Amino acid sequence: MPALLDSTNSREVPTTPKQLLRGSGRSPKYVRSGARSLAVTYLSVIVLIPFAALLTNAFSGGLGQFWNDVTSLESLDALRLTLLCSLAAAVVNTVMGLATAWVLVRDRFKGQGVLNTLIDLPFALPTVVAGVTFYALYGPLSPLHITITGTWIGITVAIMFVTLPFTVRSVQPVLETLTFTAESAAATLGASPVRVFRTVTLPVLLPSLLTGTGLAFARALGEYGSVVFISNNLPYRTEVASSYIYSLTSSNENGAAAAVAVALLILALGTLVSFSALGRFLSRGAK
Amino acid sequence: MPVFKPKTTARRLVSTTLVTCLMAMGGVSTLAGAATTTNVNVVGYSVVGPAYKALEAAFEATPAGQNVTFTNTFGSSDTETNNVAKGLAADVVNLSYASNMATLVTAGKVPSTWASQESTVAGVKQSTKAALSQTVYPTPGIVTDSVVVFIVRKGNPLNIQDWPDLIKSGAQVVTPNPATSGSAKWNLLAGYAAQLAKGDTTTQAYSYLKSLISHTVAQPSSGSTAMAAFLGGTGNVLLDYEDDAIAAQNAGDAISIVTPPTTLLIENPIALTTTGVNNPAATAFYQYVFSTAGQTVLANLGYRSVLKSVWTATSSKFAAFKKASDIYTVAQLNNQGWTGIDPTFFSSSITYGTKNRTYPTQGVVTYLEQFAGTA
Amino acid sequence: MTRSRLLLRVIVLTYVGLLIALPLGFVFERSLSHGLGAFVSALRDPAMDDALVLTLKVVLLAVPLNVIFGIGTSLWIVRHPSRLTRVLDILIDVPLAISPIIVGLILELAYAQSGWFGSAFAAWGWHVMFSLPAIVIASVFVSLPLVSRQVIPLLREVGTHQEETAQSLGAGPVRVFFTITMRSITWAAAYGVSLTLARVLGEYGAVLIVSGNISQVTQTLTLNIGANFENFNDFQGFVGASLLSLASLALLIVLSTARYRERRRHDYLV
Repeated sequence: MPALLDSTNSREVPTTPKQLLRGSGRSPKYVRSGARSLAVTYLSVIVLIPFAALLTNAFSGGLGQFWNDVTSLESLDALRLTLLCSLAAAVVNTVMGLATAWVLVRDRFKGQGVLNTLIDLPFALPTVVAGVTFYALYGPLSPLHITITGTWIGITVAIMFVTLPFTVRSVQPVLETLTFTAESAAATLGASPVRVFRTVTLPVLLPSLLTGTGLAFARALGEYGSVVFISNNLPYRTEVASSYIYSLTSSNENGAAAAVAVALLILALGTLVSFSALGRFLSRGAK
Repeated sequence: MPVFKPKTTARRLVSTTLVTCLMAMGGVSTLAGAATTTNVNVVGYSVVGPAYKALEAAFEATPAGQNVTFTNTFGSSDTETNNVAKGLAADVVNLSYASNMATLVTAGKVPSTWASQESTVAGVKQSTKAALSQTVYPTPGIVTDSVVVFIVRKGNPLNIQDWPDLIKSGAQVVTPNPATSGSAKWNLLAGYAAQLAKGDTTTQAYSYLKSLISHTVAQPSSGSTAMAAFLGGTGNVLLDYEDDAIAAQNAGDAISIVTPPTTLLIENPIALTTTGVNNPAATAFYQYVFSTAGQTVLANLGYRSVLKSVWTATSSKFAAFKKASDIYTVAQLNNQGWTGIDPTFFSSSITYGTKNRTYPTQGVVTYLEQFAGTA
Repeated sequence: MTRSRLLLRVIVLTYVGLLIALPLGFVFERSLSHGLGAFVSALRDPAMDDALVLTLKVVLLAVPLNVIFGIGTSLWIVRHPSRLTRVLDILIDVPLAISPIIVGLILELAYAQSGWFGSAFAAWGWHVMFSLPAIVIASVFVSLPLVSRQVIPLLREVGTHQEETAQSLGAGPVRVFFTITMRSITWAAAYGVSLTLARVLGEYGAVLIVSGNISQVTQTLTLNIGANFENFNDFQGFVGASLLSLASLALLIVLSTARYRERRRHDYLV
């Protein structure tokens, strides 16, 4: 049956079920193109142009110079330290993120709302305050007699503080929409709770968990404010990559700073993309 | 129904909004660092911030300072130098060391004759410059003097008195990172100078620096974060400007100041920028800073005055030195002054000479940093 | 109550307690250490008040921009899937993963007087760097995906059923958007807004670099807090930090509780 033409404008009125299901609320072309150009301008000013400037500066001395800047001893030490601490923090926060989300969704106790809000606090607290506070609480004058300043553990803990929201909030929504049906079915068939978790729950959670981990790891690579103070910033020993980049910009070594920044970005984006892809791949399997 | 062109309307709406937003922001942006003759933009290194608060308050009380407003930016000397070079509004700049000034001259922000402003603008004559014990420091363009000192825990429990104590086993030194802090450069050069003062060769002095750097337990990005780390319990000795140490003591922090027998003279340069020379309020402020009144304000905050009259009146507040040669100057370390010393010690690229390959000829500290914390 | 459930609860509470609650408590304790009176008078510090005003201006500019962009992009990604939107979906998370130092660096490279666009702007008398526009751009950058990340999953979940019904009944696209679409994503968007707000309020590194940290002119609240810590004014710094935390927490509490209740209600309806 041919589509009817609405008399007031030239848009088709969907009548058949096929037409009703198609064209998910398509807005007219002018809105779409206007919105598109606005979005593109916005993105360009905020993201694309600065990135272009970064790449130009990083490779201003040619590929050889870029390679030298990235593989200098101090750069390699900084990158290695950052990678290891970020990885450690990401692993811990994957486990703890899942545990926290579980407690928030599956458990019920007084103060659960407080816990839920606390998770977002690292977003709001300026990193400089986090740095000063951690130094006071977990430094040489710690009231708890725990001193982790100047060590890779201190760096990892500071990173854990900053990245916990990412893993918790990635898993939490999925956990909320998960029903007990499949799990109780498995349980009635005789599977132990651990087995149920491993075979039924975890596969469904894995994609979002991986995305959260990827995001946490990528974020961890670039953390500066809260980490630089607690690390004591000894070059080659406890200097993180972001601090090394900052010292290069201070000495007006913009080319080298941009080069190391590009290396760090490649690592961060590479992680992000691969973890998201892995998550998407696994989610297709889970379904 | 009237035929309207949705496409153009949407586009027009979008572009008008965008332009209005940008214009609004642009309008607000020109408010920062307004170029009026009654506003002075002051840019300085981080430690001197509180001093300028006092100077500006005192200046505003004078007839010349009526209706004058100030816009202040303080931060790490290198960062502020780069910012001014990149367009940060500045009329008066007070930086940590002379290389920063040279950078601004190259960037065209400060006139190349900045050092002579002291006599041409402020009317300070050589004969009125300070005489520190038997030595005169006639360096033009310097607004305050200080020396590198040790800051230790209150009561000096470990009895740290001199530079060799910093490389003893168990010494834990805190100093800012020389790549990001002017203060750190002064600190390390002072250690080097102290070795030359007792007759060491350059190589032996470099070897001392290597030990010193290996004994560092923290190298925070700036002088103030180094102080914060030390006060937070890290290390047992902090290297710093004498004036910063005095400020910390006055703020009630539990520290003791140890002035080593030999140390380096810290000279902080000041200049009117290319915009500042045409700003009567800025010029008046510059004159005030070099006047007896201004120098007294600075002296009361722990800075060694560059004016003979003020120094004589306030010298009792400061540690004395046995002989003139106990205070080294950068000019003694390198006859080109900071222009020569900066690349030799702090260049980010390490180059070796043909003869002695133990230590580089450029970037000595950069090379030695790989031993940081290895003691 | 099983033992494993209790154990899990204890582990999580200890972890979050040591990592987040304790530092927060420390901040509040420090700011009240001289009594409530001192706290209140510290709030009237002129430098901090100027910083507050500036921060509010930044928020009023940056948050709406990101909301519009966030909701628009979410709709685009979910409703018009294509290869471009798949790339966009990944790219949109990028700002969350970038170091603030790098953000500051690249904005400086692009917009400083010596930078790409900066030199052109300077010729027209525009100063992007070391002023409000730079702070807004940096704030927008670091919070770019926060609204989208909340809205996208919800849009996918909700589907287009209601909108198509409305459209078939003759409603125009704008009406559909505001009455149907917005209603279904209100709480997700609002939660995204509160996250954006918290992030913009708390950003330090990137803003430090691009603003020039001009006291009482381009010093946001976080920069003011940092400056206080640098100048032996720890107490003032902690007061500022408490203020910031309280503001963000209040907003987050209100919105997450509302969203929590909304989801519970939603579960009954679905």
